[in-house]
Amino acid sequence: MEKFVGKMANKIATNLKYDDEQRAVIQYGLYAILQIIITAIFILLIGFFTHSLWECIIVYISVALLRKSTGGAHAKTSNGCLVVSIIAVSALSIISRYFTFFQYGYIIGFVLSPVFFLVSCLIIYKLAPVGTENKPLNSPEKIKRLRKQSLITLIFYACILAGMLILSIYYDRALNLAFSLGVATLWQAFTLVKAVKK
Amino acid sequence: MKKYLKPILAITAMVCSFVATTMASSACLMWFYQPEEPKSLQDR
Repeated sequence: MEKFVGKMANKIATNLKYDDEQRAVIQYGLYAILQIIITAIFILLIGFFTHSLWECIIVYISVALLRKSTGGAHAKTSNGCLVVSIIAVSALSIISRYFTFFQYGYIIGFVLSPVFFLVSCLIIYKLAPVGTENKPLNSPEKIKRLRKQSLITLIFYACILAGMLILSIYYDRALNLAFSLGVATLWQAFTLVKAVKK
Repeated sequence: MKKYLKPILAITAMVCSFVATTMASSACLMWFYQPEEPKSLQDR
C-alpha cells in the first residue's frame, strides 16, 4: 500500500509543482485516509457477514479514537497493520456478539464490561501517551495535551458504557455493545503495554 | 476532463494536507502502522 500511496503522492506533487516536503505531507495524509477507508471496508464486510456489524463499528471507532491520543504498538509493515487490525477488530466483535449465548454469559458480560474498562483506564492513566520510532513524543506540552485528551476520551466512553449497561436491563443487545466497548479499550491498553515493553 | 484534473488534484492535496496536519498533532495514525512523519509536521 505504501508504494501505491507514494506513486499517487508523486503524481499529485508533479502536477501541482510541489517540493519534496509538500509531497511528503500529501503522502502522509493520503496514507492515513486510505488506511482508514480500507480497514473500515474490510471490517464492515466481516461485521455484515458475521451479524456483528454494530460491535465492529464500536470496536473500530473506539480503538481508533483512543489511539489518536494514547499511541500504542505498531506493525512493522503497512500490510501487517491491515492484517492485525482486521483480525483484532473481527475477533473482538465476534466475541462481543456471541458470548451471551453461553451459560451465565449475560451476568459475566455485565460484570466484565466495567472491569475491562476500569483496568484499561488504569493502564492508560499510567502509560499514555506512548510514542514510536517514526513518531517520537519529545515535547512535554504535547505529552500533557495528549494525556488530557486520552482522559477526556475515556470519560466519554465511561458515560456511553454506563448508558449501555443500564439499557441492557431492557434490551439484551445493549450488553453486547457495552462489552464490545470494554474489550476495545482493554485491547488498546494492551497495545500500550506492548509498546512500552519494546 | 483534463481541465478538471488540476482542480481535483489541488482539492485532493488540500484534504491530504489537512488530514496529515490533524494526524501530526496526535500520538499516532489511527491504526497499527505508523509511517515516518514529514519533518515539517514533527513536534506539532
